[in-house]
Amino acid sequence: MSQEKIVQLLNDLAADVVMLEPGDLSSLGPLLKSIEELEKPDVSAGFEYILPRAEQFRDAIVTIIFEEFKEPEKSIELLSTSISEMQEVLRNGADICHRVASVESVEPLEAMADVTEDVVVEVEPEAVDEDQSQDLDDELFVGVDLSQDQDLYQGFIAESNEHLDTIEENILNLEQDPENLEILNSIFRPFHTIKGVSGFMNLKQMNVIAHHLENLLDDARNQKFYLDGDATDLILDGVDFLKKMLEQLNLALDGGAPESMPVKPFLQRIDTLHKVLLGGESAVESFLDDEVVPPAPKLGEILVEEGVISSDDLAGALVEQQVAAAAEPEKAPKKIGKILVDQKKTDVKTVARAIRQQKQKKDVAGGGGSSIKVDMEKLDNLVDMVGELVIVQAMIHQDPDISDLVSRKVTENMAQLGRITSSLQKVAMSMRMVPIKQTFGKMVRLVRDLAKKTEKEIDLVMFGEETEIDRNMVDLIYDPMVHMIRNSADHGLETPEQRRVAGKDDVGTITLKAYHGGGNVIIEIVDDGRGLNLEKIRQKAIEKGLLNENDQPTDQELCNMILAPGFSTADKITDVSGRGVGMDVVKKAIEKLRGVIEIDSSLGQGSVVTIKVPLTLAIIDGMVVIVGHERYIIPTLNVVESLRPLKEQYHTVQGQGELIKVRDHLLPLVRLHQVFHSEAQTTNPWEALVVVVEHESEQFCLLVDELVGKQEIVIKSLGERLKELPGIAGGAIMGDGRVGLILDVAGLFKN
Amino acid sequence: MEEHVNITEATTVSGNESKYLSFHLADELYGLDILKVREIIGIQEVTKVPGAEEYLIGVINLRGKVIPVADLRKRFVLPMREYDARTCIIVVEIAGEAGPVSMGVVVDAVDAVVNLRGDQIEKAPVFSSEISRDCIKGLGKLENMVVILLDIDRVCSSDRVMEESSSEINE
Repeated sequence: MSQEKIVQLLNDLAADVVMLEPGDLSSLGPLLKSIEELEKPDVSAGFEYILPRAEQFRDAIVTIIFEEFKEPEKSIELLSTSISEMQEVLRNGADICHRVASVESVEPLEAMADVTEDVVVEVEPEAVDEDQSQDLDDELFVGVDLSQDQDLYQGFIAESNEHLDTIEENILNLEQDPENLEILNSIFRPFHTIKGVSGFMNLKQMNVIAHHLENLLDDARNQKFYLDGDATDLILDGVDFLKKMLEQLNLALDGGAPESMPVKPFLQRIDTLHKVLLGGESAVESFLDDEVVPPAPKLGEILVEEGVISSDDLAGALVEQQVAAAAEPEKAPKKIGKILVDQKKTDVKTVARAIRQQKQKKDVAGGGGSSIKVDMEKLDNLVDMVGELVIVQAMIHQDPDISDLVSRKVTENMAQLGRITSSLQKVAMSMRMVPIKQTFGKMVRLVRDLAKKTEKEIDLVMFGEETEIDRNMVDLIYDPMVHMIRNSADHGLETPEQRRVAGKDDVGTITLKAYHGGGNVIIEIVDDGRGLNLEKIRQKAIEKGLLNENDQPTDQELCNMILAPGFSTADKITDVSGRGVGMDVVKKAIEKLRGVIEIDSSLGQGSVVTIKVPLTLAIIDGMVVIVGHERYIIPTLNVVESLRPLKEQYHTVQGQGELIKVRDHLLPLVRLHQVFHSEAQTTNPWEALVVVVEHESEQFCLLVDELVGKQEIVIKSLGERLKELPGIAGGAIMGDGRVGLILDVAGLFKN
Repeated sequence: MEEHVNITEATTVSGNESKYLSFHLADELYGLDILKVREIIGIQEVTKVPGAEEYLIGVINLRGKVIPVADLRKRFVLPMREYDARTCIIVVEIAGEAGPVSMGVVVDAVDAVVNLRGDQIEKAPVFSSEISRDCIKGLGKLENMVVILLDIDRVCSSDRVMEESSSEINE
């Protein structure tokens, strides 16, 4: 065979290697094929000196296939050096011939192959880490030029924080289910990403910490041990540590001086625990544990299924794997594929194909919740546009010229258009909705920390995590929820001793519930603690001048008094809560969301905080009414009933204005046309209609001309110029494309 | 080569030149910085907003967004007249507390886009109590007429200007 053929093959190989993407197992197949072609005796005849190198190259590929690109950049780099070496050798032909004859000449490649082994297989990960951590400084970001690529760093901070949140959430799930490999993977992956990106951005300390934690998790993933409570604590601390580093990075980006952080001690903590864990349960035991549910079918099983190997072959290989693992427990377990190939039960290509198949299955298993990030403004624009589309569609549909058409085709198409627009609207609206799970998930961590801090035992039970809520709402209800949970944990629940005295279980329970009800999301925070001391609240209320000595408030009213500004019944102020600020802030925050907060409690039994907020800030259910020429929308939440009063029901009271008697209740009458200085069609209540509205359990009647009906209204802001008008809450685009005004019942009532 | 230099100089001079959208309001010709103008739409039915300042005649739906509309005749206390086919709403972008906001401005008729050099613009004299000097950036001199150049941000911002002018009257 000619030299050209080999040169050609090598060139092709070089090109393939250059095109190789990390994780792209499928392109490794052709590489293997090419190198095998090269190794054929008839091809390499006369150029045998190239064979040792070719073999090294092939081994490197095989290793990569088995390790699924553990260190992609390095592996690819190695492959390409290897190729150029071969090309070099070939070019220099005869001279090299002599050198190849001697064993030493292969040395560079052999040394390289060793490196390949080390890096790719990670025989001794600790050894590699040690090198990295040696020159670590506690001073952060030394030698990192932050002024460059500010955006890049900002993006990194945001992204990493998100990853860390994911880890936090998942690790707490893991505590419940430590054997779940899927959860482990979902913790492992974000660490891996952070490690990668921080390394790229030259943030050494972050990189090393993430790397060490990743190693710990990797071993857990390989079932060398299970993560116990200590490990979970450590990982959570790691998350905090990294978060703090990100804060420092942010500070440094703003020109501040970052604090130094004890990076090395923390690393030692990780390593110590890692060693302890490794010393514990042996790999064999965990491997034999049948209860471990693999996230994807095992490689061996796939091969058996495909009829490549028999189940006896697989059993044999598994035994060998266990034996090897038992003999050298500190080594990573030998991959089953490699054992099978070594035993000549199958060839590398088949294994590679099976691994690829396994990977696909894994991807399918884990790919359910993939999502993309979209700019909020774009989404809002989309929703606006879809709203307009719906209106235009309705206008065309109602156009007399169109509706007079007798063509069946037009009618069908119009109906289809209508269906599509309305489902488009639904989709657009639902895009803003997210499950409340995310917010609840954060509470798990909060409660865990609170329990530690207050030295109480707290169990958090959650219901209705899948309840959907507006994306904007999620951020807004977070703080109030945190506040109420803190209160429950700190003031509500007792210490284990106190609980025992009270005849309760040592472990206190906080229950988080979320559900939809009447167009609202209702969130309940229930604790089984000591409950509110109503007598104490009463005294404090009198002290603060909120209550008179002789007042007889109901229990409910007393409970809700703690929402008043400056109210705190805790005897001692802790660093968790109890400074007497906040409850009123919570109340205000909830009210701003058009929601209500209520507290109910019984002494010794615990308390229930109910937060009721609308599903979304964007849509309300409204009753459309007409006054004169204008349409107004009354939020259905406020509407009690509507009626046409009889003349006898109408009363005037000197100096009190007008009243309507509705079922024995005299309710004040508010003439909308008077409030808004507009014309009404009729001014006599018995000829017009009244709508009974309610605000904070006070009722009054609104005089309107006509009722149009109930409909869902998308709230639009009138802009900052028309922000705080009395009686007007906002605008809405009506079916004809014009703007209707949404009434603010609370504002009307104040008038 | 020399020619080339001349051209550059010419462009530098015209760098001072700004474009204004001129429009009619009562008997005068007014101008708005073209960079403030988003679009021009025909007059349409406006939803009255009770309690708003007098010259804010209401709100309209601009492709799914609700924007307030100001009537410049009301703003400058000019005699009102029926809207006709030439009446327009110029949608302008003005500075708000949190970034630019859109707002409609009702004018009698849109005229043209005019170019004005720096030396064609004069400071506004005190000549009117209705339109505070604050609202006027200057007077643009065209061949045979004068364009009153408005500072639309000030025109559309709160009723401070009105108070000022009324206090001037009181004095």
